[in-house]
Amino acid sequence: MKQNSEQDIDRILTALRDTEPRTGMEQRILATIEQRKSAAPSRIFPWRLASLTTTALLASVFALHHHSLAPHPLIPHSSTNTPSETSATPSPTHPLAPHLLIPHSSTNTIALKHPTLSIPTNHQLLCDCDPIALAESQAPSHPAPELPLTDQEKLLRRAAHHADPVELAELNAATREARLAEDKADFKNFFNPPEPETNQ
Amino acid sequence: MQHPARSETDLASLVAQYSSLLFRVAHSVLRSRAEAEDVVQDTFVRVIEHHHTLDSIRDMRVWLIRITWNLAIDRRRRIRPDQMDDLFAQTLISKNLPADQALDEAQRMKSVLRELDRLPQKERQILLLSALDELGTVELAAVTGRSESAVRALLFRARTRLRTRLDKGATA
Repeated sequence: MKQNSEQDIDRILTALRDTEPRTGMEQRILATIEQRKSAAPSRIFPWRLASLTTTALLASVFALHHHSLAPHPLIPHSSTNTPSETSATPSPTHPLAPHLLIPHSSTNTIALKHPTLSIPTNHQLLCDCDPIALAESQAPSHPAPELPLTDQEKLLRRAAHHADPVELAELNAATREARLAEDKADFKNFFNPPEPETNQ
Repeated sequence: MQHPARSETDLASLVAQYSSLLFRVAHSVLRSRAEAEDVVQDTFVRVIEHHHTLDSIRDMRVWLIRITWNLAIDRRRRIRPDQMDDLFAQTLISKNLPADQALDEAQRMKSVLRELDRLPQKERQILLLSALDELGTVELAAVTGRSESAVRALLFRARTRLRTRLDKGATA
């Protein structure tokens, strides 16, 4: 039995050792590797393009965010227009109501280091995208809504609406005092001991 | 930087020199010619990926065998090994045998393969790699990361364990 096991083990190991690959394996391997090599740049290119696009997008978002944090008026700044021209004639590219336009001087506008760079302001963005939103953002603030009535105020309103004479009379302090005094007197008269009768 | 033409020549020479050995290494694990060839191909793809560090590799043969072994083990986890063993056992049976004897022999071969897979990982690796008759004890020690004496001990233990288990299975 042991002899059989040894023979079987040797037989398996010999078969594993003597197994030959199919003919042309080397050529197939080299051809496949060549294919992978040629396909490699096309696989890398989209990643590079994606990384460049992402970088550009992040840079533009950062620039816009940084620009919007700086204080500036909501008036488009044109390097060619003088302040008087700007205040006199609104720019046709920004269809705003005249009352929304605030005259500005060159001192309170953003001075760009590079005039060729034209980063749109919030005002320009809003004008291009949604003029209604801009008008709403510049509208005067409304007063706060009225507070709800107190319990006493609600009672007063109900009494006035029902017009009950007793309730209306109780609203007058003098009348109410007189009524209370009269009630007290009646109470006293009712419960006071009767006066002793005098002998005639 | 390595010259492209030179690297292509190097790769072609590497494939010509080592592909047969690597194929047998992979086949000893997978027992499928197609799967073993895929593993050899993946091994050379790894070579391309590490082309800039090839100069620092001391023993290319050992490095390639180690990669091939690991890739084959990884692939074996994903395929169905029983199916491969059936096909491989069938190739070992003589066609002139009667059907009942052929069936009995196929069962014995499959039991050897099954017990081979049940061996501890290091023992199985040493036994299969030593069976290739191309690697000496020094190279086996380098591939497995053990000393030469440990390799010899593992080889003896693997064979003994395998024989014992097969005998026990035959008597049971």
